[in-house]
Amino acid sequence: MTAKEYIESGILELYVYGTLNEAENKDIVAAIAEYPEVKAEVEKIEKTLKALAEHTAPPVSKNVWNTINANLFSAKVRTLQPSWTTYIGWAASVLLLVGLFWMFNQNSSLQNELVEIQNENQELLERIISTEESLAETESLLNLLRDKDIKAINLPGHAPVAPEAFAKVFYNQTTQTVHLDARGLPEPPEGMVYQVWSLKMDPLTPTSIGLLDDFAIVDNKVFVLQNIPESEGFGITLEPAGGSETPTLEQLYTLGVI
Amino acid sequence: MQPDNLIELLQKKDQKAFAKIYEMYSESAYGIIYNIVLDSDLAEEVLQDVFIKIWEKADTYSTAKGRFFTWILNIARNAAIDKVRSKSFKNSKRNLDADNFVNILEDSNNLNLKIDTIGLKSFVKKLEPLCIKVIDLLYFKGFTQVEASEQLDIPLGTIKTRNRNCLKALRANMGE
Repeated sequence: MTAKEYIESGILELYVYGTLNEAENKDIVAAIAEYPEVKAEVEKIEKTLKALAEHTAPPVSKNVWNTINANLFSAKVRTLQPSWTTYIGWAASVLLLVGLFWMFNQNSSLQNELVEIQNENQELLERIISTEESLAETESLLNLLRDKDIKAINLPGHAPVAPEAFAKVFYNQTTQTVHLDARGLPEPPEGMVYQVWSLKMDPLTPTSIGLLDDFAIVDNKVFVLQNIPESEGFGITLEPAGGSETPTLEQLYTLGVI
Repeated sequence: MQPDNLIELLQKKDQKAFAKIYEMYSESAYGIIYNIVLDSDLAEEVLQDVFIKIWEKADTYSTAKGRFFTWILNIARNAAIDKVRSKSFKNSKRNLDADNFVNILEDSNNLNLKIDTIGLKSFVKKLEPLCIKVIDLLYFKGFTQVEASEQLDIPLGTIKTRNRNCLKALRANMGE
């Protein structure tokens, strides 16, 4: 077809309408490339049709462009923003998790420390109590020594059984009480016990005033003996467990006279 | 007369080029849509979708397929026809008084119609009634020649030339 034939046929209008089939369309595309007149005609048709469409509708509101813009471009910004905040969010959650874990660890180690410190406190408290007890004991002993009614009697070691041994008796005749300091005595052998005797001199009469059964377990080795008859001296012998009726003189450890 | 530079930039996702393309083609696309949908709010909805599609599918256009105007025309026409067939459209009120571009131009209720700077109204008034129908079906409604010949009950062979002569008359009136 010549350029004129294309133009006269009316197919160019349909080409611009977009209602041709694919083969026809290809043919016109080729004709446009070949004939400048065909191209010019197509452009004229398009101009007319464009003007016709533009003038057969109300004006387009500005909102349309704004909406398109918002949908296409601020939508992109919006999809970027979440990804930014998402990263921050994840980072914050990880930090929080690490923080919580750290605090949990801190908490349990503090609790362990607290338990340890509570135990130490308990120990210290017990020590204070026992110290106070032993202080009270010591004070009561001191008071005893200061008592004007007290008589202090040295019981030196009696050769040959125990030349090194010694004891001390604090005798209160008014209260009929004896405090015996037996620190100078050796530990009694297994199955044996120290027996304390009150002595009257003319004639020599020993009276048993007590067994030092708990010699091993009393730390300060101070023993209190009561209901002491009037005495002129004191002696300590080693006797079989349970004590004896009369002192075994071969085993006389210490002896002292007022 | 086709803005090939702009089209190329658009295909490279240039937003400024897109804005210019919108400026150049939105009114004509809207005219096509409005002629099918006959409701300005719905037509604007369709126009939005059409230009979003133009942005997203710009790379599928090539000069080998035809005019860029025709490409937009097809997108607009198809979107408008889809809208008309949709349930939401069928349930909505339509302007039943106007059903072609001449009626739209003459619709006295259409106070919003833009100022007719080129005096188009007087030109189209001079068109023969059959011309109006042919242009309406082929151009605005996208009918094929076969469909138009059946609809208008005129021989298939005469459609093309009749249409050309009608457009020529319009072009002559517009000073071409």
